[in-house]
Amino acid sequence: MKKLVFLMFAFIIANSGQAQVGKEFSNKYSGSEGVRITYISSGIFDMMGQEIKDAQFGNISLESFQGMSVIDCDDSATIKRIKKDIDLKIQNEYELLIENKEDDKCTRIYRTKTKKRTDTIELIVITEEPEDINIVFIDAASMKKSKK
Amino acid sequence: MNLNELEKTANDEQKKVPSDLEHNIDTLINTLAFAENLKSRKESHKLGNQMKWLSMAATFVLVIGFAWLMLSKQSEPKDTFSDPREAYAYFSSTMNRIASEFNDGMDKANAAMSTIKTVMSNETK
Repeated sequence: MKKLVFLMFAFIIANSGQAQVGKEFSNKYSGSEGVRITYISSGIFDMMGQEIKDAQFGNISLESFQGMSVIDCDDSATIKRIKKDIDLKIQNEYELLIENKEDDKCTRIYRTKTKKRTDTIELIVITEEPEDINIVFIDAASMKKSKK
Repeated sequence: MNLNELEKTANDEQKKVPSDLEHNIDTLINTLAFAENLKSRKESHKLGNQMKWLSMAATFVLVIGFAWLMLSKQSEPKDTFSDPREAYAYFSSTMNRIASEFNDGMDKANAAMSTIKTVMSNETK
């Protein structure tokens, strides 16, 4: 009985850990002060022609695309909360690919860490300006999976 | 017979105690004690079973509640665009912006690397 309960908890926690970060943040900050959320699922492109689906964006094609969430915020208090949350999330699970500073704008691009990499690529692009923050979460199947 | 005669009769007659009286009394006491013990064990076993089922039900409710809490965090957000063409336009503009930032960063990194190489080659000379 104890083993069964332990296995059930482990299964639930493991599955919840794989929850996509973009969806998690979208659900959490939806309706918050100054926050605009844009969500695009992979299903919406199913209605488009094959030539569109074959379009490439770097290593991501529309066929491998699994979802995109964009969070845009211009409220200072909410920006602080979002920054705190995202920094905590990134700290342990993501690695920095590029940081680009230009005047007052700073853009950082993160990817899931090598150890945690599965068949899904998760990219986080954070653009910070003095009174605005824009975070883009992109989920796509890895090139290995999409070539199969 | 009056009381005095009864008393006299009791004192006179030799009454014999059965030899197995003590054994019989012991057996009876042991049998009663065993029956009592059996009864109390049955009652505690029944109570133990009920507690076991209650604890299983409580654990099940706890696990289901925990699962519901964790899974509710993962609910699918609603698509912002209903027109796939608008969704594609937004998607491609976002990806182009990201690509531009990425390329700017790479250009700066490459420029820094070539500067480092120049400095190092000057130092070796």
